[in-house]
Amino acid sequence: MIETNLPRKLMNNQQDEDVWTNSQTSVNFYAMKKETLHAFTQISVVLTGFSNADLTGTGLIATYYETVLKELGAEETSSLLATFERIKISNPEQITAQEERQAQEMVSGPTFKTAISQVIQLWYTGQWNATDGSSYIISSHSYLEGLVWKAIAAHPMGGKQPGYGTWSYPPLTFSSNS
Amino acid sequence: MSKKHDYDVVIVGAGITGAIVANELAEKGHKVLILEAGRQKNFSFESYREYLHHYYTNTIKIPNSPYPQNPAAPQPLVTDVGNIEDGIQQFDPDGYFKQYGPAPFQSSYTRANGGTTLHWLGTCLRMLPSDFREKDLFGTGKNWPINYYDLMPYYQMAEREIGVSADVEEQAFLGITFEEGYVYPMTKIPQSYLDQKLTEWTKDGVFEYEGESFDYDVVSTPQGRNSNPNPQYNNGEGYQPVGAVGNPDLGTRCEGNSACVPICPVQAKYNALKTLYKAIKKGVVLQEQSVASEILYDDKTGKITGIKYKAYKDFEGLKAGRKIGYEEKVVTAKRYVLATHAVENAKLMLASGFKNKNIGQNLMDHPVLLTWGLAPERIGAFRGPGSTSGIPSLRDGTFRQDRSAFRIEIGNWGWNWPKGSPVTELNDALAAGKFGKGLRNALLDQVQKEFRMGFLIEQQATDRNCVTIDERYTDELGNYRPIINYNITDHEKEGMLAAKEFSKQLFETIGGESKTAYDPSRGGYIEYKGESLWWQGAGHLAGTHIMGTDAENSVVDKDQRCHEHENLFLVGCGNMPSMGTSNPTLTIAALSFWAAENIDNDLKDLK
Repeated sequence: MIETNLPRKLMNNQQDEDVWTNSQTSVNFYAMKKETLHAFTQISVVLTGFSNADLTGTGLIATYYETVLKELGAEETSSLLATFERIKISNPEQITAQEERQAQEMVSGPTFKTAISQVIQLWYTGQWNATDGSSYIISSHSYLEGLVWKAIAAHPMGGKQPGYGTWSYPPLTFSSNS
Repeated sequence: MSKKHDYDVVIVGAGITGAIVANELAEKGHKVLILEAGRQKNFSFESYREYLHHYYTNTIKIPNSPYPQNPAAPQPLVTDVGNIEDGIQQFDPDGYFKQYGPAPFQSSYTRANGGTTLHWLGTCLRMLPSDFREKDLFGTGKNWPINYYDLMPYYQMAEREIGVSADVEEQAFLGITFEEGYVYPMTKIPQSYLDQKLTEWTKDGVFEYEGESFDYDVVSTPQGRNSNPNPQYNNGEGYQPVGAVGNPDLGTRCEGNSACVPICPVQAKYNALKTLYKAIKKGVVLQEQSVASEILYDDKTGKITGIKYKAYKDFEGLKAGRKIGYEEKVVTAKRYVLATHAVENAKLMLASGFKNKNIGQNLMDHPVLLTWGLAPERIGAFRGPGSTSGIPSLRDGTFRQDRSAFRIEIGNWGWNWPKGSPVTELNDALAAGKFGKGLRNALLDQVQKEFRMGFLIEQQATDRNCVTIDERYTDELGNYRPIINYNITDHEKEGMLAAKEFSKQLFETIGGESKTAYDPSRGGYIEYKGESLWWQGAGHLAGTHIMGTDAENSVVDKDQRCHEHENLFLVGCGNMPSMGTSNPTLTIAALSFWAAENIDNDLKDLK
């Protein structure tokens, strides 16, 4: 969790909100509780291999969470998040070998394999691919924020142009570990 | 002339050729109308941005992705070509073309203001002098009634209009010459890092094939995209790069958006909207949503008496099942120009009952054999224009008697064209259970080393490859849909075999890894002499109303005038009796200047 210096009053407000959301059904608990966005961010960091800052920088965490909720349904979404939380990853940006094994089981296991692919595709391409073969791009913004371009050390085709002549220079050599 | 005409000149089609002819004739003071089939669209940059957003949010990224399908003036899509099932090539029955094969015709064009230059790559190669005399030199293909030297001054005009970036000393190869002291308007577009590494890795190598050796010369490609102006241009006058229409400060340099096909977001790449906009400012009338449906002519003299067109109303909000409303009108002029694309020009003349037997025949494209693989180290794919260099050594030689020549285009966007990269790699990695940093590293390692080559195979004109019409196949407005019969010859397949071998030897030479593997179910797959081959369309549709010496062998004469209709000119790729291995846009732009000059001379004589 992020350390906060928020005034006590605001913290109390947040607690009040939690009390309110806790009074809803378990489905609405994940649908509405603010911390769920945090949980969605945590799983997204692990699944995409990008940092919290990278994901926040897209401006799309809430949009994607809503998309997942709408497409997978509240039940599967909360089940996915709850199962992930049971791995108890202490720092999603630097997962241990043990945590990675557990996450790998979840990624490759029959229960969530498809849903996890869909979530990663959403982050990497800004596109939702439904199981019936249909697909759509959330918005121009989501296309441009597709993480696949960052992963390959390029820029989205048709956007975030790097400037005249940049293509004649050696590629960036960073890896995801640096 | 005693009869009163509506205009001096009516042009059908607002693409590059129509725009050039209109602009040139308006410059000379003539009254010009352009009829354009596409939707009405203003020339603001915001309006152009709508195309860009369409591209971003379209899940299928093909050349026509940004340009919405229009039922009143439909356009072909590369996705209309389906897979091969049980040995039979499948086509989407709802596609614009009705295709009879046996080979798939895999190229598309765009029906909107600006035409297909909206999605062209921008390659501006001149044709080789030998390309104009192919029949004489190699006994194959057809000769042109004009030669390279006739066209030289017009090439210069086209290079100015498009704004071509290249260094002249690198472009004088295989017989191409330039006027003394000539320089291109802008200096060459920087070659990609990939181009530079390939130059280094291949410098001691040679390609050996059938007893001949060829160099792996990597040469920068002349491109219609903005670079640094050449101060020596035009005898020291210099050159001012032309930015985006409606936003002229934007796009005065290529910014590396890596999306030339299907859309340059800043219009640093030339599109015909730029010429069109100039023409309109000079008084040219552009009338959109007007689909020419028939050329009216006098049976005895052959003279055109008017163009009939269907002016359709806007169909936004039209309820499903309702027909698009239109009015039929006729417009008259002293001279008429068909500039509505090779396939559409031919279709329109056939629909009008023109009798010349060559109309619709000799359909050509550049079948593009694609090969791909990994460079020995990261070269940084997906950066810069789609292609900044090519290898010209196999564009010409006596081997053309036996097999097709080809130009090798080096692709900067990884395996995007053949494989749909990088999304395909992503999906493959996900299927393998990858996630997180492992996923990122897998993608980075592979995609950064990816490159592909495109071998643009010369195709010769034949009457078996043709556009026809059939009253059973029409569009929403009752206009004909083009019927396509198409195949490739053994001469072309021999060229493809050489191309495939070239790729194999190149990957060995550079110490890379070829990953070329052709899927037998994909359209364009064939086997020849035990080798698998796979090609795609280049979008270089040409040859449907070729130029020649008389009505027996051609539709237009060297002046671009119809043999049988003295007041009708045709422009565009349809006039080309052969294409060699050059992307055709620069050449048809040059021919459009030539045609405009001839029309102007006609009109002067009338006064």
